[in-house]
Formats: sequence, C-alpha cells, structure tokens
Amino acid sequence: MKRHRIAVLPVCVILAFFAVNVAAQEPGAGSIGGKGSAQGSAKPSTPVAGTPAKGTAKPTTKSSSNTVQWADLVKGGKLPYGRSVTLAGQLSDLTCGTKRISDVLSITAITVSYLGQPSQATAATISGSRWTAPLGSLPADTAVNLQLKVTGNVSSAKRGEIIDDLLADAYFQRSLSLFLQNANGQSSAVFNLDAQIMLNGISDRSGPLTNILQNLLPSCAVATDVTAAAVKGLQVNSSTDLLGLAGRVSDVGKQVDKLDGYDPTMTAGQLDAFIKAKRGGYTKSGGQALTDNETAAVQQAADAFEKSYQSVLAAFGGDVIAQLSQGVVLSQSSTTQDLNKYAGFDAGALYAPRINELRGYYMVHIYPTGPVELDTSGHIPFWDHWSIAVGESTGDLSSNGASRVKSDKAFVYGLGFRLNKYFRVTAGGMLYRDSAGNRLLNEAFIGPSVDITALPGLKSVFASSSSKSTGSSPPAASNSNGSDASQ
Amino acid sequence: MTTDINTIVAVSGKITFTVKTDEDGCSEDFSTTIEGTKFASHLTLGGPGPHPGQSIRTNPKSGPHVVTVTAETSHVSSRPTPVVLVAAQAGGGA
Repeated sequence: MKRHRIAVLPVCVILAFFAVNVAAQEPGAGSIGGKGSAQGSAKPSTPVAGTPAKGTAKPTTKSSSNTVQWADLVKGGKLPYGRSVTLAGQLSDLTCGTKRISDVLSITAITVSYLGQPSQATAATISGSRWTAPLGSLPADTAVNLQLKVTGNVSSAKRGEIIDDLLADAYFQRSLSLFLQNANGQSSAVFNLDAQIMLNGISDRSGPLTNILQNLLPSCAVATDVTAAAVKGLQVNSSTDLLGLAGRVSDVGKQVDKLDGYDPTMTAGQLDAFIKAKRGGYTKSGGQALTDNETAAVQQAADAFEKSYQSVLAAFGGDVIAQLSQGVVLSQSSTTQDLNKYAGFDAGALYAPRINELRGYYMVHIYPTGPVELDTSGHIPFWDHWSIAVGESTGDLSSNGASRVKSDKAFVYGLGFRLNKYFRVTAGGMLYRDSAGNRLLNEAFIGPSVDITALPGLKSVFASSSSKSTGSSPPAASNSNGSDASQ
Repeated sequence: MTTDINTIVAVSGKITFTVKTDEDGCSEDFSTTIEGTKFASHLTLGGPGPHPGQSIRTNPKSGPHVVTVTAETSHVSSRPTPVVLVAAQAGGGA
C-alpha cells in the first residue's frame, strides 16, 4: 500500500503542473506564432506596428512586449520569435561602425528585412528623431540576419567634405587634366562625351567619388547607384561647375600677392568660409588696402568660385541619395537555435533511497510550455525551467551486487528542473520488476543529469537551423519578393 | 606685358576674364579658338596689376566648352576653363 502511495505522488505532481500551466497560458498565444505554432503554418502573420516600447530591458523569447529597441539588439538583446515584432529606435542609434549615420545623412527612409530569406522589406515610420519598423513574425528554427537600408540626403556639413576630398583625389586630378586637354577648344558634343566619360570614371564602383562616399560610413555598404545619382545631379546642375571648381579656387589667390587671410593650400570649403567671413573687405597682409582693380578682380574671382561651389554643393545635397545597408548578424545566433528546443535528451544518475541504489538513466525532457530558451543569462519565465521526463534506467552504478531491478531495466518518469543551460535535476518515480518477488514496483528517485542536446556538437539533433552565418553580412541585393517566410 | 590670364567667365555673347600685367601694362591681341574658329580682341591695359572685366566676343557659340585665352604677343595662356557659352540674344549688346 505504501508503494502505491509513492507511485501516485509523482503522477499527481505532473497533473498539477499541467493544470497550473494551462491556467498560465496567455490568451490567444497560439494564434500568431504562439507556443507550438511557430513552425509548420504557412499563414503569414500580421505585423504589429507602433507597439510602444516597454523599458530598455533586453527582450527575451517570452517577453510580453513585441517592440525591440534597435540599440538593445545591437548590444546583444534578443528578438522574440514566433510573434510579430516591431523594431524601434532613435535615428542616432543607427551607426556604421562607430559613425552615426545621422551625422552624415539627413535620413528620409528606412527599410528593414531579413537577409537570406524570401521576405519583403518593410518600411519604417520616422517621426522626429524616432523610427519604428514592423518586422512581422520571426520564424523559429532560424538564425536571423537583419538588414537595414537607410536612405537620406548627404547632410550639408558633409557635402563640403565630399567636394574637398574629390578635388584632392589624385585620380580625379589626373582625369580632370586629361579632360581639359582633350576637350579644349572642341565642340559641345565632344565636351559632353568627355565629361560623361570622366564622371563615369569617378563614380564607378572603384571610382574616387564612390570611395569617398563609402569612407563617410566605412562599415556600411554604399549602394552602387549613389554615385550615378550624384553624376546625374551634377549634369543637371552643369558639370562645368565641378570640372572648373579647382581652377576657381586658385583664381582667387592669383589677383594680388599676399591677400590677407588667404592660403594657397586652402580647400574649397575653407575658401568658401574665407570669402563669407571677408564679406568683400579684402586687404593685403598687414592691412594694406587693395586698389580698385585689385578689389574688383578678387571679387570677380570670388564670385565665380562661389557660383560654381554652391552649384556643386546643391548637386550633392539635392540630387544625391545615399542608400546604405547595414547587415547585422545576431551575435546570439546559437541562442536562436536553442529557442527551438521543444525537448531535450538527458543522461544522468538517479538515487532511489528506499532500495539504496544509484543508477544511470536516459530521459527525454519535454517542455510543456512550448519551445524554450536554454540560455539562462537573460531572464526567462519560471515555467520554462520545468520539463516532463520519461526514460529508462539501464544499469546500477553503485556496484550493488544484487540489484532489486530485474534485468537492470526500469521505466523512469518525473519532473525536471533546469538549473542552467546544461544541467538539470529530476525527481520522479522508477517503475521496475522486482527481482526478488517478481512484482511491479515503483520507487521515488532524485538525480542530476546533463542535457546532451544542449552541448554544441549535438544541438542540431534537437534544434535545426536554416542559417548559421556569422560576421558581417553583405548588403542585401537578393531579397526576393515573396511571401513572408515567417511561420 | 601680360603675366597671367584667369577668372574666365561666360556671359551673354562673350567671355570675360582678368588680365594681370607688369608695370608696363600691355597692348596686344587676346584670342580663343572654339571648334576651329578663332575669336580675338585687342586689349590695351596700362599699369601693373589685375585688370578684371576684359572680354572676347564668342557669339554665336553656345553650350559647354573648354576655353583657353591666349595673349598673342606675350605668349601667356590661361588654364583651360570649362564654361557654358551663351549666345547673345538678337538685339542684345554683345
């Protein structure tokens, strides 16, 4: 009779566990990527946009908030899977390496997509200094690689830098010299043809203009059509302004010797600042006044420079749209794989006190709450520690000469409590045939175990992954239009 | 004599430029050749220094060109300068 009570106890515990867990289920949790529905459904989910962020704590798999802050994600935060997710952040959160994109671009649009999956990019909503982008549902069993495309106009402060860098570039200078030589005195048709060749040269994939734009945000990939847009802008605003700008810079200093404040090595940007600061009040070094002719000559040279310089500035500011891509591989891709674990396979040792035996066992641990995250570095729900276990005890480890377990085979069952990613303690019952009286008996046991499937080499047995890429990703060029791959 | 020619700008029907001379000034022809056509102007400039606002008529040429202005006697040339020539309007003062 006593043995029957021992057998009933773990069964009652299991039933109670189920009852409590069912009551704890979130309403509607299974409707969109809820527990157990993360895989197998082809139904596209409806993204939830604009969900307010709840603090800055790192989101976890079972977080109640669907909004993930981009800044947290970059720092190692996790994306909830199996439900609609909205990315959010400040424009200043978007960086290329250590450089803020917003310092270079006046951001006008952001799109977000999963790289390497047939999902459509979603457009972000920009409101003031904040942005939000609905991601849709994150598919389970997948390492995720997000990509942001940031579109914007080169900020006014950076346009001057671009022009200065271009004028100082050796390739540009050689090309310009060749152009001026070839087109000198020729027809407009020849001018246009040679100018086009030169502009194409500086704006192709390895051209100086492309390199300069890429160097503004070195860790991001610059879309190849950036410089094409730049060239188009320059053509609209007359390429003569760019092609003649270097000469205009030197003209200002040619009019008089030792123009006060003027330096022959000035860049275009510096000369622009010099002219604006002088406001026509030019003097020679030492404060000596200019003659009327000198003043007029300096002013004409300054006016000619300003006309060209402002035209080129406008070309880069008004018509150049820099499209930048930022590939992000989640650093915790292994964790993402862990998220997919619905069950684990443990090996361990159990101790049955009444018969005083230490026995080895293998058990399958089933997570009744659905797939759980094994990485306990973040906060995970209490119930995700628990599992229902069934398995087999295969041998006596305590060198008990006459084991009570007939043929050393026993069925074991119970409840497991995961201590961390790898280790677990299980308590339950062991059902066996008594070698002494041939009766079917049940013994209570407790014992530690190791989750074999959590070991890196065996993880894929219980958790598949469709992508295990690491490191920086290339710019998205292959996002195909298609149905949402999630779910 | 002429020491430098710079600041070439296209205006309606002509190009303007600045001529720098030494103390003797200059009196010589200044020319530019566009598509095989030579356009010239005789300039007499007294005294040293820059002489802004000098010009050569280029009418009826128009469109983008690279022009070089040369002082015929001094053999001084400007750097080749891209400009967009503008043909003078009929009845204009070019």
